[in-house]
This record gives sequence, structure tokens and C-alpha cells, in this order.
Amino acid sequence: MAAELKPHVPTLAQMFVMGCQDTSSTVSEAALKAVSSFIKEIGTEPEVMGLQCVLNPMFLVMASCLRNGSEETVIEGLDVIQEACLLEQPLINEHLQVITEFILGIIVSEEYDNDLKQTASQTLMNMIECRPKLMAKKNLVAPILTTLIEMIAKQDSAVAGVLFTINPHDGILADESGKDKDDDEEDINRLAQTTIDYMAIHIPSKHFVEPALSLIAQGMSSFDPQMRKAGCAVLGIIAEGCSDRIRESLSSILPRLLELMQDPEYYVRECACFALGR
Amino acid sequence: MTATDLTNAANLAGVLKLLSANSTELVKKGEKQLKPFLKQPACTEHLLNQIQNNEEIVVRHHAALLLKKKLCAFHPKFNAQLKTALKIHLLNLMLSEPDKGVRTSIAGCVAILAKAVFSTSEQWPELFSSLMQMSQDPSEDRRALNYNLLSQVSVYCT
Repeated sequence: MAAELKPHVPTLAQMFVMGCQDTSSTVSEAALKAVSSFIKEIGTEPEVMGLQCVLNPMFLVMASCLRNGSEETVIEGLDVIQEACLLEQPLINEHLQVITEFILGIIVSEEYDNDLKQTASQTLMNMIECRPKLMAKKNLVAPILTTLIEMIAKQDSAVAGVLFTINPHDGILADESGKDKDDDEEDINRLAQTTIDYMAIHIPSKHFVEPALSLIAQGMSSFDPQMRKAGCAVLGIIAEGCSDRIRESLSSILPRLLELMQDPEYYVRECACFALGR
Repeated sequence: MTATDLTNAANLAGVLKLLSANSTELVKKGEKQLKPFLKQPACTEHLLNQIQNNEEIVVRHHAALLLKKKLCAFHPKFNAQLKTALKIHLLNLMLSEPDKGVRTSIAGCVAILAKAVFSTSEQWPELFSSLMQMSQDPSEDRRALNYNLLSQVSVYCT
């Protein structure tokens, strides 16, 4: 960063705050882009912490962009958060809760394009990977898991093993034109499952397994077959990442899982078999 | 065939106009005529003159784009007087330009000039006071331009 710019960072930060709070969406979106650009460029320098005060106003602009359909601008903002996760500087640490709520709002909504949902989910995964302990400390594990389990429950398409199958829309098989509603549902399913898998792998098990098993148990004993399906699916997903801790709880999990293999609903039985296999 | 004298404002405007012509042949002709001219540091003054005085948007736009391309390389060759004049002139031109596209291109010139200035540890306090002024301007366009300029400054100066 040019040395001449460094003393001006506090002034620039105030200017960015003003811009993000501007009543004109043209100005606030331009300010958001400028902040994004600055964070990307000066991210490795300690001065980036001077931009911390801009983050909340920046999220407000992103929220308003969501309302007025400027999804591209939101994606740009989320890209910056992804990069901020990789920084040594704790720029986003105080904002993890707000960002998580914002991202979960995008992921569960049916209004937004898959591109935005994918970016939101990738941002969440970056946060989980780079700030696992802090995410746990801020009690974000249970709310994220609850949302993701509900997402899996809502899907009508096959849930079991989606994460572990090849996605025909990735790589050389990608062909957007051939996508239909079922494919979109599968994408959302995969997105939820991948995020849960990430949590199981990265968040220390002492912070993750207890809330996860509690939510799984709630799901598996629910009257709602979709929740029973989701509970089993999540158990299968986290089995690898948390194998040691799950092994300790097998005596309480296994009987219920075996019962669910005889569930009247085939999709519950399917997920129970998947979990048992895992 | 003798080369066109591009230090003449009308000739330069004519050649800049060729860059937006509908025919590739004409565009190439314009580029060919500009090539030797753009190797001279003095071209910056003539381009600035076009941005300031030409009435045609397309000419001002090309002049600004070419100036942005050349500024960084020529800046070390300018004398102190020209350097100071450039700083003041470009900021004024950016604020007075009526067309949005040209304004954005001039903002690009300002950002490149900031890079050149800061890389030699020179000062440009007027840049920051202009930014502050623009951020509080009643005109929405100017406020948006302010952030556009800041985006470009961040890319070029960091």
C-alpha cells in the first residue's frame, strides 16, 4: 500500500461509511464496491483493521441490494468476506454472527439464484474453515445446523448420499441448459450437506458433536417424516468427520436408527440405511 | 505521404474519432497514426487539451483512455511545473466533465496519476480534499464518481 495512503485510512473509512449510508442506491453500491476493492488490496496490511467500522454499513448495503435484486453486487460483497476470512487480520471476527445470519437468510430463501446461494454457502464454509473455534465460541454451530437440517428436510428429492455422488453439473459434464427444478433441488441439497460435512471436519468435535447429535436425535424422533429423514441424513454426513465421538454415543443412536430402517416412509428408510452404511 | 501533425488539435481530434469508426481499416489507420505521437511525452498535453476543449464525447473519451495508458510511463519525465499542473487540471476536468463515461475514464487517469505520484513519495493533498468534497456533493453522480475513483485508486495505488 502506498505510504501516502496509510494516514488517510481513517478518513477513507468514514467516507465509506457515509457512502454505504447514502440514500441513493447508485452511491451506496459504488461505495460497497470501493470498500470491497480496498479490503482486497490492503488485506495483508494492518491498516485494513481501520476499515472495520465499514463492515456493518456494508452489510446493510448488501441487504438492500438483496431486496432490490442486485444479486451481482451481493456476490461481490460475499467474495470480499471470503477473502477476509483468509486474512491473518481479525477484520471479520466481530461480525461473524451478522454475516452468518445474512448468509443463512440467503441460503434458505427460495427467491435467490443458485449462483448467489453457492457464493453464500462458500463464504460460510470459508468462515468455518478459517475461524472454526470462533464460530463455536460465538454459539453459531447450533443455529447453522438447525437451518441446514431444515433445508434438507424441505427437499423432496433423494437426500441420501447426495454429497457422495458425482454432480453431473460439475466439470466437463456441466451443462446449464439441461438443468431443471430437480437439479436445482439437488444443488441446494448438496450445498447444505457439504456445509455440514465442512462443519464436522473443521469445528473441534467438543464444540460440534453435542449440538449436532442433539439436533439429529430431535430429528430422528420427530413426528414429521421429513425431519426424521433429515436427522438420519445428517448423521450419515457427519459420521466420518466425528467418528470417534459418535462411536461413544453409538449405544443411544443405534437402536433408534435401526427402528427407522423400518419407517413407513421409504425416504426415511433410505436415509437410515445411508447413515448405517456410513 | 507526409505524417499528420497531431500536435494540431483538429488533426488529433480527427484521428481520435477514427478509433470509433465502423470499419476496422479506419480504426487501424487511426492507431497507426497515433503510434509515433504517443511515444512523445508531449502527447499528454495535447490529449489533455482534447479532454478539456473538444465537444465530441467520443473524442474526449478516447483522449482520456489514451492519457490513462500513457501517464504512468511519462510522469517521471515531466518537470515539476507540469506535474503540479497535471494534478490540478485532471481533478478539475473530472469534476467538470458532463458525460458519465468520460468522467469515469478521467477518474482512471486521476487514479493512475496518484499511483505515479505516490510511487515517488510525492504528495497530493488536493486529491484527498477533492475526494472529501465529492463525497459530500449534492449531486448523486459526483458522489458515485467519488467511490468509483476510490475503487480505482485502491487498485492502482496499493
